[in-house]
Amino acid sequence: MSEISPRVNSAILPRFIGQIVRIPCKILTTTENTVTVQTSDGGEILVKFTGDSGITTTFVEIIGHVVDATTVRKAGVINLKSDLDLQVADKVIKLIHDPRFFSTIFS
Amino acid sequence: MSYQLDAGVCLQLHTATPNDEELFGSPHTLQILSLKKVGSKQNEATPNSPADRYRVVLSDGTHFLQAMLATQLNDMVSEKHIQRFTVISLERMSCNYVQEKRLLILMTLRVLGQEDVKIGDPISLDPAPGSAAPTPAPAPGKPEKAEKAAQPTSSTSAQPAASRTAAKTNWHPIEGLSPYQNNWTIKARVTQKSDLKNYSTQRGEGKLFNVTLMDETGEIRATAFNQVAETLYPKLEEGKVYYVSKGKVNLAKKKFSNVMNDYEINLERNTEVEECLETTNLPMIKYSFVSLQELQELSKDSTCDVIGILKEYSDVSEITSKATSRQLKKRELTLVDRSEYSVRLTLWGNQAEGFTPDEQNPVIAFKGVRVGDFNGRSLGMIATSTMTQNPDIPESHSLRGWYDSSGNNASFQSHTGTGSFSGGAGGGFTRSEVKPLLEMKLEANRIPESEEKPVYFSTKATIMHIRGENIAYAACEVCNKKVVEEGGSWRCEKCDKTWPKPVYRYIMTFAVSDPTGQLWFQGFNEVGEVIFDKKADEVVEIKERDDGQYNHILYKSCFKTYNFLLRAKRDSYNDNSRIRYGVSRILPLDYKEECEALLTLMETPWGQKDFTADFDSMTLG
Repeated sequence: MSEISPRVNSAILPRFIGQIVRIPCKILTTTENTVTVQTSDGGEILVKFTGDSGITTTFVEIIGHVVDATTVRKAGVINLKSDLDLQVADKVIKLIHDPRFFSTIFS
Repeated sequence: MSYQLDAGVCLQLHTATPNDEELFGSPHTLQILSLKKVGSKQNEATPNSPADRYRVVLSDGTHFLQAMLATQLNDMVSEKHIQRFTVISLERMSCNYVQEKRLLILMTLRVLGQEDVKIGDPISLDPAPGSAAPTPAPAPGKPEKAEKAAQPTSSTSAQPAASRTAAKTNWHPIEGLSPYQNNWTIKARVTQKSDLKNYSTQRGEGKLFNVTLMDETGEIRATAFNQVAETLYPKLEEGKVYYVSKGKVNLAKKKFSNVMNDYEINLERNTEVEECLETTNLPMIKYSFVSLQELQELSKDSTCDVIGILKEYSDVSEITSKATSRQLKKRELTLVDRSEYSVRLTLWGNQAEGFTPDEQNPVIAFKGVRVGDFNGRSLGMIATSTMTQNPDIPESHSLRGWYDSSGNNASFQSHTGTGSFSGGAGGGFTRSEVKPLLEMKLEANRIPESEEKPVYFSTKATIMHIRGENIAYAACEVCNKKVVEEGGSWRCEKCDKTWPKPVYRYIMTFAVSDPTGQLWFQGFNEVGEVIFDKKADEVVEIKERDDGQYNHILYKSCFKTYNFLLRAKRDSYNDNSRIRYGVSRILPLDYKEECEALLTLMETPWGQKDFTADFDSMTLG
């Protein structure tokens, strides 16, 4: 179970404190070592990193450790294109975490 | 002494239900405005004969209405206890319906007192029943009211004429026709009329014809047999509007008709058909046109409406029908429209023979034509199709304008030339019909040996392996058939042309998989160009030059997923019979669209069930 990194939105993130998750999101603001992102359900998460963020596009998938309910420490990033339908992504995320399906996907 | 009448009672009595015990059994203070003996024409000299009935006009000060005095109270009249302007307390009355008209009968009453004048200024509630003159106005100021009371009389006696005119303004909508109601009249246009056909069954011979009747609410088929058919056939003309009544509404025999209605009308001997001569408010044919370009999206054998300019038309030709071995006359029309596509539309039989265009390039609108897949997409008339030249509708005018200004010089695409698989490409990829490979395999294998026509399937699968040995063939530029090398140049057997260098076209066999199974598909040029993103010439050149690079191209094209439209056809050779899957269309995935489709699938009952139980019991084999 510790090897998985399920996709989450801001509502589901708090369940995975101390674990690794993936967040499809949109970049809102950037500083030297943080990035504020908007998740698929419209919430905002703070992503911390060191060095170069590696972020080059507006839509990305952040992979990282959950520090607390609104903070993630970045472990990796996948740059997506300049459009991503976050609403569709959100529907998928909700489905993934449905108890009927979660244990089958991440068994 | 002035009496206070129970105002409002008359209105209540006028509208109450006959078993309103409370109303009819409680006392009401009312005034008699007039008394009149009706019934047998006894003269005054024989009062109190049992046949005497008295009609009374009762007022509550606000309204007055008619009532009858029960015969047991006749004495009160003859003994002058009740007379004009008497105020009474009406204690019991009854209400009957006689021939749809309400009849109030005063059963028990008590005289309160006698007045000299009418109390209040009551107005009439009901029109006078029957043809007898209504009771005269009790006071001088009332003659016009009496006249008004008289008016309905004259009109009710002219009832039949009134109901006919009423029917003409209140015709029944076709949508509302049902077998449970028979006194309807519809006002409809004959949009299609068949020939007078003869038939013979085991029970005997007969003739019939049918029409499609249409109004703003819908359409319905009507059929006449034998004698009725002979009478009505000349009477009903296509394109004209008629009032039809007294037909029999039955459940529709869908086998014989394409018309969208659960019911149909049987025209019988007592059916009335009257031509409608108004020129306004006539039901117009309702079209839902698709553009000629959109025909690609429609599946074969569906029906549609189109409108276009007649670009050209062929002469009448005769062919022998494969199915019935009969001679069939046909004529091909070529239509174009603003989508800059052209399509061939076939007319048959008498319609083909008799076709003449109204002008050089008329606008023609078609309703209910069948979509075929000849040369990509084609259209054909069927029994219920209609064709109208230069209809007076906005789409027609805009087509006319477009053609006259620019359209006549435009070049048009036909569906063959659009890169879809020539040789009778099927309809479009239908997402709703998508099946996983296993299901498709099972279904395809049920295609009987006798089935000559291909069956189309839609599916989504991933390319796993491409057979590299034979990837393309040398083709004739004109007809795409194989060209054979003869002494340095390449010759096409069909066109008898030679080319110095052939053009290569893909011909490939490749394996696809999905979570349920694996199959081999055959693809032609279009498929290769999508999968390799290179023209066949280029790939052939690489193959000949550099084996390593060629294999690399093959490998790189694997593990990509596409949506496929397949033609499955049973092939038998020797003793074996196998299904071959030819790729008719290959479509790269639009991730957003696919995602939405999968989400929709999750919302169906299939997607919602808990399938962990299935997993446990599933065995791979």
